[in-house]
Amino acid sequence: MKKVWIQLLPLFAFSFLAVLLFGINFVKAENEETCAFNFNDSQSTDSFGNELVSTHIGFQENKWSPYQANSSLYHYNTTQEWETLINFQGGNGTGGVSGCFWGKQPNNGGHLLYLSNSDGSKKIGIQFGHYGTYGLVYPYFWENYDESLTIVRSIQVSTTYYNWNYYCFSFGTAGVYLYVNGEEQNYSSWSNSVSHADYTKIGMYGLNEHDNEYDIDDFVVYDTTLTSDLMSRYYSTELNYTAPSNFPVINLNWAGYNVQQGEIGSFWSVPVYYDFCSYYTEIQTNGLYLQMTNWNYGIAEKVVVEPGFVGALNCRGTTYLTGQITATSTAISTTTVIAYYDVMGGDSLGETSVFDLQIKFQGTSDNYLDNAIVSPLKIYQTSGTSTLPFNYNLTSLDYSDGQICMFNNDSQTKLPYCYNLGSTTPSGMGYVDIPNANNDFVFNGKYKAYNSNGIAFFESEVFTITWPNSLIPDLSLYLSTSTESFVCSTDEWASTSTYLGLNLTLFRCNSLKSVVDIAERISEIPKKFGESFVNMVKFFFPLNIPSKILESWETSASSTVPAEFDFLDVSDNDGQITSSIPSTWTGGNSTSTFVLFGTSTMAAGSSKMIDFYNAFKNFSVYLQWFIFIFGLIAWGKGIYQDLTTDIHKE
Amino acid sequence: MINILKNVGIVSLIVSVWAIFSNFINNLFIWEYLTSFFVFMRMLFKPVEFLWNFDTSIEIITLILGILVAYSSFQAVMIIRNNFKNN
Repeated sequence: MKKVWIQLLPLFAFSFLAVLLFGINFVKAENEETCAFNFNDSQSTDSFGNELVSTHIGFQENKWSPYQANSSLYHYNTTQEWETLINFQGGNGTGGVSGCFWGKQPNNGGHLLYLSNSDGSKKIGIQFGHYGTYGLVYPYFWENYDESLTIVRSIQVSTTYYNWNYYCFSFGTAGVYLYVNGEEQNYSSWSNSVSHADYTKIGMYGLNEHDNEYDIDDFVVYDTTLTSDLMSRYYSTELNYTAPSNFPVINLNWAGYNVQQGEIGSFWSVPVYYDFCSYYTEIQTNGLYLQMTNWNYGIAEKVVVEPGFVGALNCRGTTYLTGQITATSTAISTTTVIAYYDVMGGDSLGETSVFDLQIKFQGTSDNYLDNAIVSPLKIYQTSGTSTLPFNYNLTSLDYSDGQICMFNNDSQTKLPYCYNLGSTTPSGMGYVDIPNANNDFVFNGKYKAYNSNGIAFFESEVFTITWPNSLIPDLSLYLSTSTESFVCSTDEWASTSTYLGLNLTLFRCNSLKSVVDIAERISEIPKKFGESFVNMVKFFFPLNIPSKILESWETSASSTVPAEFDFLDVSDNDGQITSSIPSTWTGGNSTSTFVLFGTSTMAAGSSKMIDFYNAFKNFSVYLQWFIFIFGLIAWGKGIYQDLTTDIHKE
Repeated sequence: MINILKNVGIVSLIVSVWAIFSNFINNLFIWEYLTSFFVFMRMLFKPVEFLWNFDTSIEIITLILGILVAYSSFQAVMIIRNNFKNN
């Protein structure tokens, strides 16, 4: 009995280890409030043909307030991704903020919008823009004005909230003109009341002389002077904006299948990405309408924003124009999606690029494209190709001279492994040959049917294939494919020929299928027993740790850890450990890097050595299983002796 | 009869407490830490990965632990059986 407890020791050890690792984080981070702001950097000229030196970035009213702790200032970076600039950790806005806050346009002309308090710690609890107003618009500068324009701002604390009252400007390049609130600014009227240590290129200081909420809410910098008419049109409608005709104020993108199909009564949809953040208030007031042009096959329009919309509004997102299939004829048209303001068919605000759309009728249950494998399929061959079958019926679609090809669902790319449909065979079983992977590899794919123009018109469900690089084949994998297609072809199963009243083909297929099915059932017994056991014990900690280990190991291949731990990653992507010698040591022009350990030193450029290491790595698989199996035999022998000893004692 | 009931009760109690404890651990344990741990391990293995297949190593370690669990479970059943038998 004593030995029994010794056998249980690993379990206790696991428990102890798990408790040590047990880190409970009861405190979840508060939800961060995001700060929406206007953004539009897609224009190089305005609607009147003037080159824009700057575009606008501003904060939407009521989208962020100092009374929301843990807010963040986000920024749309050069890779078109949202990036957190500052996490505002201010409390309720009643304290902790005083003095000036400084923001500086970076010299590299990047999309940086940086704000911090005077000591550099990122704790700002202020409201951007003037309380309850249209919102403060930030200057934004193109890259060709690198180092030409520096802006430093300060704010002044008021009794109830914080306003941006002081603005400082520096122009390093002549020939630019500043407009504020529709007026070209006379620099001399601005007092030199604010300065900053980093502010070396002083060209002009500006102090907002009017201390009311609505004073400054728009900056624009042009490389030319504007006529009074243009200035008036730009700024006089600041709070009551009316979009000029044919002025593309929103960005639209269309993304979807060119060809869609469905049964009578089913719906098709055209996804449209919109972005009207630069005209948030106007769209909120007057509404936004989308409509498909040149489309005579039913209604294809949508009201994205109702006029007079009240409340928070997402100014960037995806919506769908939908329609219903009402006839068996194919609807086809070259079209665009166009955005309107105020009323459907009114002033055009933006338009997608032109695209061809086909909506096809699909007879009930007529068409299918099915994998003839059960996902996930494991393939243990490490070289050559694997043949993957599928069943298809594209009778009521335009399949002529088309192809069915493998499609990589992870990278969303069409692969060059195809099956030609020809022009006379609308249904049957097809196959593609795909190359095997020589290392652990997971592939998520699907079949797609392409017409003669290379446009996809039908597709299968997604399935997974793995090359586990393991030596243990799983019998059930072979049997888990459709046993019907395994023993006979589709034509054989559909055979109607008889001999002496007996359908011998069908008899043979059924007999074979029975044998294979029985074999499958038998092979499933130990597997199901194992699954039942795992399902039973996996709930009980720490018995579930082994399954968690394997799961975590597989997940870790595509996981990352915080950048703070990067120092642990001593090798580069090729697994080589390198060391650098500064140029000052060697007297050279650049830093010298040499490999301390890795394939390049071990193989010394020899392809034979690389082949040897690959072979050894493959051999390590055999070696490990060999040791494991022999260890298992020895282990089993010991356990057997223990058990028999216990039984004898009893 | 009373002894049998008493033994059943003890076993039920142990299993119940264990189930509660497991439920507590499984829900509160941050399993992502385990994943992070293996990310670190992968960092360490990377320089010698060209020589050794670590996927197989982990698979075998998992199998060994699984066998340990299975065997320990068997031993536990034997303990319960003996307990019933002795009483």
